[in-house]
Formats: sequence, C-alpha cells, structure tokens
Amino acid sequence: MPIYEFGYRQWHGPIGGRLRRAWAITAVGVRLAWNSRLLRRMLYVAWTPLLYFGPLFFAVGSVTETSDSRNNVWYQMLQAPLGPQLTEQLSENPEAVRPAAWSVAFYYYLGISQSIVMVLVVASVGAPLIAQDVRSKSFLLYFSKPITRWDYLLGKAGVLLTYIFLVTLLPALALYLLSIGFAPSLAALPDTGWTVLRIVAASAVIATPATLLMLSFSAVGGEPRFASFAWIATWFLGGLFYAILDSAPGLHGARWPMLFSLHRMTTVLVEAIFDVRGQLAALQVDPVQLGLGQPQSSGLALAMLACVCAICLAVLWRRVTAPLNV
Amino acid sequence: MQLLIQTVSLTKLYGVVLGLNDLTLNLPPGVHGLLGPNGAGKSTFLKLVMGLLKPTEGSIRVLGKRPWDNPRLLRLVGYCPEHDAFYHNLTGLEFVTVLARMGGFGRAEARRRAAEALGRVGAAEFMNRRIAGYSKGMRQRTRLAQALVHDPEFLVLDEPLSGLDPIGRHEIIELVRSLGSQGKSVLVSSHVLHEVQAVTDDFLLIYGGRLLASGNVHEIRSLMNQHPHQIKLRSAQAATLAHHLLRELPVTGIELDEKLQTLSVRTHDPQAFYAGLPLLVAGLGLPIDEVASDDDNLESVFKYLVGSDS
Repeated sequence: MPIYEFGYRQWHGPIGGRLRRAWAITAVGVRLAWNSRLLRRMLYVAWTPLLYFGPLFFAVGSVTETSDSRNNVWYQMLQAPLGPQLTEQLSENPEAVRPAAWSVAFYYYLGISQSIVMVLVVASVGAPLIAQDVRSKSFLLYFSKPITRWDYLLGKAGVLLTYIFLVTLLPALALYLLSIGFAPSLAALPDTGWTVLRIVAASAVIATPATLLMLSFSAVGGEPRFASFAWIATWFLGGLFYAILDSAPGLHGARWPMLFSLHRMTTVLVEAIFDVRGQLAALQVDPVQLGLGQPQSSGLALAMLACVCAICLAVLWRRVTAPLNV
Repeated sequence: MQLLIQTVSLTKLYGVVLGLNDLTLNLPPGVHGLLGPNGAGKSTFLKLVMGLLKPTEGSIRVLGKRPWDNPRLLRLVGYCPEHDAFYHNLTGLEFVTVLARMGGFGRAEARRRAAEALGRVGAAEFMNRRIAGYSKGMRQRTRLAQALVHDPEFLVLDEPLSGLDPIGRHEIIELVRSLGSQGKSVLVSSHVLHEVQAVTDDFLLIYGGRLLASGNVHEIRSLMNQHPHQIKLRSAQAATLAHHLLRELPVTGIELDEKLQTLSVRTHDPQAFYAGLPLLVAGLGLPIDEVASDDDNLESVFKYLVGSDS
C-alpha cells in the first residue's frame, strides 16, 4: 500500500455555521433510520388515511356544487364525519360553511388519525437516536468535532421532526392541495387561506412535545427498547388513564384529567388551532354531534405541554452533558 | 512560543475514583508520547485535552485556549478515540464525510477530504464497504482518518496502533512521523514502550493518575538501568542452571519454579548477563528453551520507577 506524502492542503474556503453542522447530524440520522424496512412500511401505512380523507374532501366539493345534493351519495358520506347539521348547512350555504367543514376534517386528520400513526413512527425512529450514541460512545467523536451540545440536540431533534412531518405536515398539505383541486371554484382558496398556517401550527404542536419527550427517553434509558416502551406506555397509558378518569362519575368534563394524557392535550390544542368549536358555535352546530366531547382549556393544555417540553430540555441537556462531565 | 498543552494541578475525579491527580506540565509543540499502563489515566488526560471532560480541579489550556465547551478550539484539533464509535450501516467514506461535515465543510468538500484522509491512512481500498464488515485494523484506520479529515494543527491519538498488523503499524508510524515533520503537533498514547518509541523520543510517563516523569527515551532508559532487570528463562535443567547463574553471572536474585521449569532472574547489569549467558550454557551443555525479558513490559518499568518492585 502506498504511503501518501503529499501533505495537507490548508482550507481557505468558508466554514459553515451551526445549522450546517446540526444538519449533518440530521442528515445521517434520517438516512440511517430510512434503512429500517419496518419504518418504511409504517410510513406507507401513515399515508393510507388519505384514502379516506381524500374522498371526504371530494364529497365536500361535490355537495357544494350539486343542486339536488341531499340525494347525492357524497352527501350521505359526509353525514358520518360532519354530522347531519353541518352537512345540511354545507349544502345550503357552501361559501360560509366550507371553512368550518375543512377545519373539522383537518382536525380529525391531524389530531386523531395522524397523531396515532405518529406515535409508532416516533417510537421506531427516536428510540436509538441518543441511546445508541451513549452505548457506542459516539459522544466522544461528536464532541471532538466543533459542535456544541445544542447543535447535537438540534441535529437529533431534526431527525425526529423530519419523520413526524412526513406523517403529519406533508400529507396534510397534500390533502389541502387535493381539497383545493376538488373545490368547485377557486373561491375556496381565499376562504380557506388560513388552513395552511393552521396545518403548520398543528403539526408543530404535535411534533414538538413528541420529539422532546422521545429524545429524553432515549437519553435517559441508554437502551433503545426501553425508550420505545416508555414512549408508547406514556402515550397510551396516559390516554387510558384520562379516559377512565373522564368517565368516572363527577369527573366527566373536569379540566385536570387531561393533564395525564399527552394525546388529549395535543388534540385540545389542535382543536383550538383550527378553531373547531368557535366555527361550529357560529353555525349553531352542536360539537357533541361530531364526537368532540366536553370543551377543555387550551391554555391549560398549552401550559402543561410547555412544562413537559421544558423538563425534557433540562433532562436532555443534563444527559448530553453528563457523560462528558462525570 | 505558544505551549501545546499547559496544565496546572489538573485533577479529575470520577465520583470517588481518581482519574488524574494534580498534574502540572508545560508541553511545547511537537510529537509526544503519552505512556502508561492500563488504567494509568492516559485516556482521562486525552479527554481533558479534547474538552470531552471537565476538570474537577486545576486548569488546562490547549494551544492557549480552554478546551472545555470550546468548539472553536476543536477546529484545530483532531481526536482518534480508543474505542469504536461508528454507525455500522455507513461505509467508511460516508462516515468520515459526515464527521467532516460536522466540521462545517460543504458536502462536496467534506467528501473530497474524507477520501483524501482515508487514502492517507491506507483505507482507500475498503472505504466504500460498510463499516459493519471491517476488521479491527480497518476500523482503526477509519478512526484515524476522521481525526485527520479537517486538517488539524494538533492530533490527539489514543492507542492508535492497537489492532493493527505489523505493516499497518509501520504505515501509521510513518504517517505520524510525517505529520511531525510537517510541523503538526501530535500526542500519542500507548501502554507499549517500543510503539511510542518508534514515533517519538519525547515521553510523558503517567501512572496512577500522576505524571511520573517526562523526558526523552535515553533518560528513561538510563533511569531504568538503575533498577534490576528481570529475565525469565525456561530450561529442562532449571535447578542446575540456577546454580551456575548465581556463581558465574552478575545476578542479584533467582526464583525457581521447578514445576514449570522456569527461572526468574534479577540483574543490575543486563548487558553483562546477556553477553555471558550463551558462553555459560554452551560451556556446560545446558539446554535453554526460552529467554524472555519483562523489561519491555511497561508495567514493570513503572513498578521500577515508583519503587514498588525494587
């Protein structure tokens, strides 16, 4: 084998900033996660709800452009998700009711359907992100490069956010474009202009606590399986505990039981972002007909999720620094 | 002249375990060896140099800067850790490219540098294969390449020769020498004296978390010569051999293990002993199956120096 003697050439070009370094961590993490066949299958499954929601938006468009809409098959299809009151109003006054119908549909899509799929994707992608670095001592290599602890965390969070947005933000935006295409006229565009921003905000609300909590589990456990288990248990057992408390006599509709459920707090915020209850109230539609349950305080949910995020950040910072600061 | 490393009473505690104890030194630029037996505190010292650990007491400066939480300094320093820390699904080229990108290089430049660094350490042949299939030596070369990839002024190599075959060792030794001749500073740790001796004459001896001695190889050798050397012999007539050795060669003590037919001989004059031994056994017609010296074993060198074996 030859022994090279040509020496180094000093680099005089620009050196990238912090975001580029964090992106390098994200890019390799995304790529390594993509190698998992299970994850790829999960992602395919994550997009299948579009097979239901796509026709739903087509039905909204069809109902609004058909004169004799009540006998229309699409009208019948909308009865289940939107309820009879909202469906009837939609057929009578499509321009005024369309934003509310879309909000309800996007709330169901992001708040219910995709947030459940997201739990499995996060468990698969997030569990090894920090745990594996702790086990393999990759910390030593990472932090022998000019990156800070925050760059590292940002890079790792980027991996999870990428996959969460692949099952929330991206399909929701695709659904929005699809629904614009199904709308009878371009008038739907200004009517539903805020929907895009709401989709982005709702995706962020779903993704942020999920990312930080999963990374914390990954950092604390040091074992990917433990992190996956802790994450899924937190999500589903929290939801179960909330359901038990909410159905207990005297506690139904109480504010505090939702604090046990990450999923419930997230859906309360997604509901608030799409202003579902406000729009339904303006149309004098009963939210219970749509299965929305008792109203909950979005402020309380936001405060609790902010606390969870702050605690997760503190845990992450401590754990990422700890192996170096024994 | 700016010092390469400057420490004042540098101490590192792992809970109640002492990793490094009150280490004070001023190390000028150049190629230096860090020698010590396993558990002596070498890796702790290197991690403190890299800012991967925070000192419990005292201070450390590398190239005039505090290393803890100082990513700017790390642009000037390359680190080859002792242990594997790879993503096994990546190829060597991809892995080194990722680490170069963490140094702030763009994708194309990072890839070019990664290929060049892997070529320098003799890893070009296998750099497009997945790391999962690498031998220990291939992994070691890949670790070295990532340390070199951003053209550091100062290289910190933790046991860089472990796991390499003799040809690989030679190549890496030549590489470190060439880096030194290019004006780069290198700190190489090892627990094998002759490995580091092949790279540099300047040593830091560390033992029990303390700096035991520093200087060049001649000073250390002469220090060693003041202490008895231990030589092991194996012979079918071990008892007879012991008797003649005590009478005719400069020997200060012998331990005989008749079961194993071995002798453990101590001498203050190894040169005279080695010169006289062939003549003695040839004259007496005694068989000797094996002659071995423990003095290349660094552990015994350190025992001599701290006086626990004298």
